[in-house]
Amino acid sequence: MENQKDNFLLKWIEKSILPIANKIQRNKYLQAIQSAFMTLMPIMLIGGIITIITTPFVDYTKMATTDSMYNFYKGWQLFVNNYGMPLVILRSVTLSSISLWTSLAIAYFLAKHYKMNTIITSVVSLLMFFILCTSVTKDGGLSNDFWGGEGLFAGIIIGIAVTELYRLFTTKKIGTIKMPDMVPPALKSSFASIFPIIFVTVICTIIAMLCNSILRITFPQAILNLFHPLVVTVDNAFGLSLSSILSQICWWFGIHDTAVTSLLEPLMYSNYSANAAAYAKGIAAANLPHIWTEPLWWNWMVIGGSGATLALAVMVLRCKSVQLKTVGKVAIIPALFNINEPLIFGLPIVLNPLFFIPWLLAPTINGLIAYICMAIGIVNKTFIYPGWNIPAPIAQFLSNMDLRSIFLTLVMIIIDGLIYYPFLKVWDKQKLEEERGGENVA
Amino acid sequence: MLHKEIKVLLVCNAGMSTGIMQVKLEEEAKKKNIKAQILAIPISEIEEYLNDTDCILLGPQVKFAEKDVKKMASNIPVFTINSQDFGLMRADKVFKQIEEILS
Repeated sequence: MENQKDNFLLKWIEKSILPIANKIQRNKYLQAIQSAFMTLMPIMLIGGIITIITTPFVDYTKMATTDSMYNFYKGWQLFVNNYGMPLVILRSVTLSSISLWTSLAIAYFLAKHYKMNTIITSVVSLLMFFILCTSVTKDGGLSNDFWGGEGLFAGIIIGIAVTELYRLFTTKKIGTIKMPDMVPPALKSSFASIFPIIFVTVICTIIAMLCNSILRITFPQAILNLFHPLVVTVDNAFGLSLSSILSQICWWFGIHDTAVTSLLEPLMYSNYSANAAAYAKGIAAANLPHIWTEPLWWNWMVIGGSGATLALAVMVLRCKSVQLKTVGKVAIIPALFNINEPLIFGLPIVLNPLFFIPWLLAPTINGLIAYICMAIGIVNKTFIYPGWNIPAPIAQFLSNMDLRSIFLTLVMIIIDGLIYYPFLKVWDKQKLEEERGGENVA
Repeated sequence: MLHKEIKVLLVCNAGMSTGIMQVKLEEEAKKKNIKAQILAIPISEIEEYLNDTDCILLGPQVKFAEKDVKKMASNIPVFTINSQDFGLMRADKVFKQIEEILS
């Protein structure tokens, strides 16, 4: 089946593309970031659910008292006011503290990678996060204003930098206290970490002081300003399309797209968390600050898996070729849960020139449709991330609690189907001819 | 024919799609009456499992890491699942490969 041209392409990929993919994807920092987000997903989902519970859809004070739903929304709001304190706290320490947990988890995964003491490294990183990202309220209390989406870039940097610094001091044995041999090893190691911790603390304290006194802003604000030009360049419909195309090209070469998405994850998570915080403050879901969020990418663009192949999976089931039908039977159930490796490798889409164009086009078009619809208010913006493997159109509905999402998702699935249809038709015909040709020879 | 229990590690990005393969391979092992412990894991966690496995199979989407994994695994055989076999979830073929490598 493989002709010379395919062999040449494969060799070229193995020699030039795979090593680059390996370098990026096996990068210890990106892996730690990715693992952190993956691990924290359930915690953030709980935060999302709490956000819905503690924020009535409609503000009853703006409703007419004669409205049939008035009492319902009033009751809801009063319930939250009177009994909702634990829930409000839970929201505040989950989704609204996403940076804190991310920072902690990154330190943990990096420490694990370096085979360092994971708990002490994580705790040190957490302490430094407190020093650098906590501000003081007017009446002297501590404020977690920068523990949410705004502090995410700072949180990631703290998790990585503190772990590296701490590692530097401990491995170089800088400041390690030498204890007599009689001292038990456990005691020795806890003494050994005292000075490295003090050094790291001094460095972070100085940085926090410099930010406050010279720049007159908090550390997370300074980091945010630093990343601002980059974020502004990427965070728009054009950046979304380009990212989508890049990630699809990765997949077309048979390489998982984390190289692209793990770089986008901080942006998407910080936007998502900012939206959830705005929604909790009472801003209408149509007027939230960000469009491109975690759910926009994972729920709205890649319906059925990367490449938006849900419609394709259904159509493959109805192909005439026996081989393609078999692929369809294997692919359809995972596709409902947005897993599409059976299609990617079975159809195959990987390195198949025929599918290159629809493969790039379908998720990108989905992204643009969703982006525009949210920008002009046809559907709400997203503020809940239900997770990437929730089936369509439930996931899309959950992501913005907007019933119109169900309709829009169905429209998008049909459009994806239309994009793939002509190409699949050609492929089916080719396969069918191959199969019939084979029968004749036999 | 393999008599003792075999331990197979399936590796992909999140352990999701290899999870399907895991179920299919377990069925295949049952059919053949072979005791097998098959585990699908994300690639970032591979280091934890290296000590306790007989062979490592990579999903085609993480083929790029084959060299790295081979280096880490030293004596344990490592191979990438053929992409057609993976796409069609042909556990029989993959299982045959495992048997060949371990015998």
